[in-house]
Amino acid sequence: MIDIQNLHFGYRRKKVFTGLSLQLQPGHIYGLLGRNGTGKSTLVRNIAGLLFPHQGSVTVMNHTPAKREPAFLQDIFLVPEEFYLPDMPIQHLLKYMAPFYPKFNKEQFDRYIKEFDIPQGNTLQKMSYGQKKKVLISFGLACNTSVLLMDEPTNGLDIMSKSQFRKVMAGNIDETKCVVISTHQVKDLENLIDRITIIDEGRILFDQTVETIARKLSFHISFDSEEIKQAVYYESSLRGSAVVMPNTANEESKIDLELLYKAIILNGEAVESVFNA
Amino acid sequence: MNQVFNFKRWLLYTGKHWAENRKRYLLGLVAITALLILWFSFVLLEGDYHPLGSKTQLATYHVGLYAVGLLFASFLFHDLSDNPRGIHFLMIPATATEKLLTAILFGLVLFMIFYTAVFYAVDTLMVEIANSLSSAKKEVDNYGRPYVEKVVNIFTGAVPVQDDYDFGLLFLIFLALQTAFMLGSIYFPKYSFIKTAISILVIFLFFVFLIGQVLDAMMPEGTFHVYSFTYSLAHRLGGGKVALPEWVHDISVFCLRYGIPPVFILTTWFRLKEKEV
Repeated sequence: MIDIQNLHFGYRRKKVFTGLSLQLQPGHIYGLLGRNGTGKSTLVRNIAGLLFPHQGSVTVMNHTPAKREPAFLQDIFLVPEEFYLPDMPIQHLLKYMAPFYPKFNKEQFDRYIKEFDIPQGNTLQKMSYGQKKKVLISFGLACNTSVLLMDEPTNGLDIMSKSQFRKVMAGNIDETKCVVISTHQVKDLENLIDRITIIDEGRILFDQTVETIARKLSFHISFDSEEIKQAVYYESSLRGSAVVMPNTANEESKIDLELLYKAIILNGEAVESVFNA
Repeated sequence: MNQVFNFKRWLLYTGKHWAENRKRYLLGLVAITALLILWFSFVLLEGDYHPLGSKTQLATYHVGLYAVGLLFASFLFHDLSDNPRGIHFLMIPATATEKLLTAILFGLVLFMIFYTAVFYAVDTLMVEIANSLSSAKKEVDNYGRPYVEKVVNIFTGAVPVQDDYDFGLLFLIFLALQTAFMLGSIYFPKYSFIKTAISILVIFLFFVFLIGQVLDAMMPEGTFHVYSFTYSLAHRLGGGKVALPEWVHDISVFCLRYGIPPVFILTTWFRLKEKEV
């Protein structure tokens, strides 16, 4: 569905990607994680056709995004980190925007708006940033595009909204859609994504399914100093040390995304050796 | 569906553009009306003798058309100067052709129609006021009849087709400048009006320098006549005239009169296609 081959891209003074390759398939929610300024948003914009590769290729649903053909644009939706919504009531937004998306579903939109507790009567400009973002997310989901790109979608959402977001997202995915969520707030994506891709310094540092991660790594609290020494990564806290261990005993544990992320960033080689074993 | 131009999609896009911008456009019309009333009132108060003569009306029409029209054109692609708005603009499933045609429809065609309509509404009213003031003052014309000011015909001047008034040429110059400022609104994300004006001035001065200094130095003593594309030799050199063959002259004049707006529109289309945000 999304095929990125040998992508080279940079801004005037800074190279961001030097030969990045990545394939994303339908039926998954991909978590694109990474520190600020590592190229997550740039990658999303290359996929959306807002930025053009300097070298290499980006193909999305057999389209070249840079051409920005309507057939491509009506089957992809981007929820950017900083977004714009015109100053009009929600009903007008539907009237003027929805016809551009052939698979838009009004009932679905109303359901999401209800789940997000958005007052329907207000114009968009009178809404708070978080409310507007929830309208945009609802609209993007209701468009039912094959590709849904979200850049830091939980930024600006309160705690309740973040949990509403996870709930709404979880109910939306099917095998025809590919959702890419780019974020540095890894906690917000727990129990939502099924493949984790970590970008650092413009390259793919880690790219595994949640299933593989759960099979290869174990996450738990340990008080055993010997065990802690053997951990791929650990973090001390008042209730013991949170450790990431090679899952030699095939035990089931809940993936702690934040811990995994830190382990990959700070001790990438050790994590890699576990996955290569 | 056609990926270059589709009439139904263009209508959808035009409807969306109108819905998003109608407040701004209507406020703009109110502002133009107010400015024209203010200006004519000032002229009425300051002018002692026949203040609303045909030349005043024509000058007001054209100065207003150029000033407001060019300012308006420099905002046609203002959305692209701001990332969130730019993303919204580029991600709407319509082609660059459809987006450009909408800009031309609102920025050139509808602007011209509505500006002229507003001008006539205000002008008619102010001429009525001027006439009631002059009748109160018992002003008479050269034949001793009560003096009556007439609403000028902006297409022909005061009397049908005045020798020194060429609406067609003024309109073509306006169109060339209007399309140049439209292109400038994509080229210069910030301060596009000022930057486009400076660019046009620099290009104009370059041609003045090229003709007046460089080409003139290469020619025998004489004078270059820009409007007729001829070169008159000085009297002491025989006073001959060098002219282009008639067909070359005709083609050159045709290109200069009608060729500039299409070139700017085409360049705008290419810039729009390759715009990245």
